[in-house]
Amino acid sequence: MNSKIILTDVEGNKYKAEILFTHFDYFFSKNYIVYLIDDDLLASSYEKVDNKYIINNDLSSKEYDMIDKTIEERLGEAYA
Amino acid sequence: MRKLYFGTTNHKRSFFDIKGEKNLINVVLNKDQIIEVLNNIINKDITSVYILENGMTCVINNVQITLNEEFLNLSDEFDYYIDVLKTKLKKCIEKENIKKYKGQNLKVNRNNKYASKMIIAGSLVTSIMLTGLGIGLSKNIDKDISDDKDILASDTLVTDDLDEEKDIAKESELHEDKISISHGSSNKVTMVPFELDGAKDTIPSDEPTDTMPTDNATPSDEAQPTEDVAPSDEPTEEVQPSDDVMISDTIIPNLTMGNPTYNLSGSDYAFAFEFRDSTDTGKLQATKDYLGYYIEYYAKRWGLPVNLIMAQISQERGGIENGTVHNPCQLTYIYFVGQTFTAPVYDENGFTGTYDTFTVTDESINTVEGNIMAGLAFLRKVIDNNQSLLTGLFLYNQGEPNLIFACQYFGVDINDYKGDQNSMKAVELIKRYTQTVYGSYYGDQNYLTNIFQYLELDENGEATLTYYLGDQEITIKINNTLVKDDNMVRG
Repeated sequence: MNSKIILTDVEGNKYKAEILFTHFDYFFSKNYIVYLIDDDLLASSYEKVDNKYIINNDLSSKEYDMIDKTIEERLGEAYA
Repeated sequence: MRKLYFGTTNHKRSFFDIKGEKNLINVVLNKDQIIEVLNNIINKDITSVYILENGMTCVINNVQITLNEEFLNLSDEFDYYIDVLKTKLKKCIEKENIKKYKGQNLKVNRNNKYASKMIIAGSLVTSIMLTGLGIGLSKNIDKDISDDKDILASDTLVTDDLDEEKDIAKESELHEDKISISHGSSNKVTMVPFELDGAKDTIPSDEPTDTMPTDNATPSDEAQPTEDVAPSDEPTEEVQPSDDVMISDTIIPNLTMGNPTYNLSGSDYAFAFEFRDSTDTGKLQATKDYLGYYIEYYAKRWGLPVNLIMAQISQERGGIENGTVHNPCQLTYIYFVGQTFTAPVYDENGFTGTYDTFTVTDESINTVEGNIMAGLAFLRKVIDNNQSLLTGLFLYNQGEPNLIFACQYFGVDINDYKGDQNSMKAVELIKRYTQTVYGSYYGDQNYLTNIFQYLELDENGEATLTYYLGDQEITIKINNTLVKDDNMVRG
């Protein structure tokens, strides 16, 4: 599936990533994006600032737990 | 299968029925037709999705719909329907993404080695997924996607790589670049080679080159003679320019581009285009008769070429009724009202060193004078920002910041695209950007030639545009190669 994006860090380095899904979590009240870079499964929160999507990689362990659980749920859904 | 195109016109959503053997005809749907179409698809499953470069195609209820990115991000009275459609598209995409990893034990890598903050560059799918999420949040319809298992039909077709998607787009013949409106014009246009030095090197080659020359260009002598343009009595007629007329992008051969100091017959720059002559349709004359006083006054006062502004407003304005016209500069009120402009003041000796400053109000923009003041001050600002008359003129239609966005998007230095000597290169880059990001229907891609059709030309098919940039007077010649070719044939 084509959900490819380019991530640019503050130094201008670009990374090709593939989005798996996005998720809004009511508990944390934040938007999250789950994506792959070179088969490395990563998750970040994101927000829209000045028409740009800024992702934040500093997640707490509870946020990671939530993401893992969400992936499990969605994997289960994909089996259905 | 019925084919629809959900695109944009002047930043507003537009709905088209795609017709004809080669999908070359599109018909704008009216409000009742739009609602009928949306009601027919809104409760149905998406059976396939194809991702295109600047849009996507999906099939719902045996209707093939191509959507461009800007359409999805706009807002209007049809938001309810479009939001539901976006949510369905988002879920369709996400489920397929997850399905790829069926059987794997996916855990997020918590040791993220990348920078703590990164920006997501433009991507249609990103936009859909992220904006779709926002919709889900605001309308609480994305709370539990497991309840919506019926959304994805079993025969959902999703592509796995970009090449395959391009092939599918090609096969479906629904790529936006192939869709054009036919006005039944018999104009034939020669597509002359793109000769701008350096332009090919700086514009990414992997982007579609739909405005580039074709090998099977028709000979120029097939061009419709200007005498065939039926004259009519202005002011009520709205002359519709032919969509066939393209900018030739050819610089007159004896100019050396990239060197701003050359001189040609007393002009600083000269550019050749192909466009029909509509000066005898009555529209230009009506502009002069009813709006000419204010156009001439403010164009001269702010150092703009009077003949070009007459032509531009002839192209922009609607019909004149009872000696007046509403919004002759076709300004977007929400952008202009409240904005303060500062324009440099010139007289016969050049720059006076003073400036006019004024704020556009609800009242002023609805007067002919106030509207022309705002339009010309805006044009003056865009020209100054880009140091180019023609680039500024094109951005008046395409959107003030789009050269900046285009340079950011393609990763090129904007300084290489500023200045009159780079104006055609800049126009090409802006076109490439807006077509890539917003689709082929963005603005008026032939805006320059649609204005030039109202320029009064000399016997050689040339018009001279004189304007000020800073304290420097600059002269630009616009040559209509159709007149030149026609004279050569007759000669």
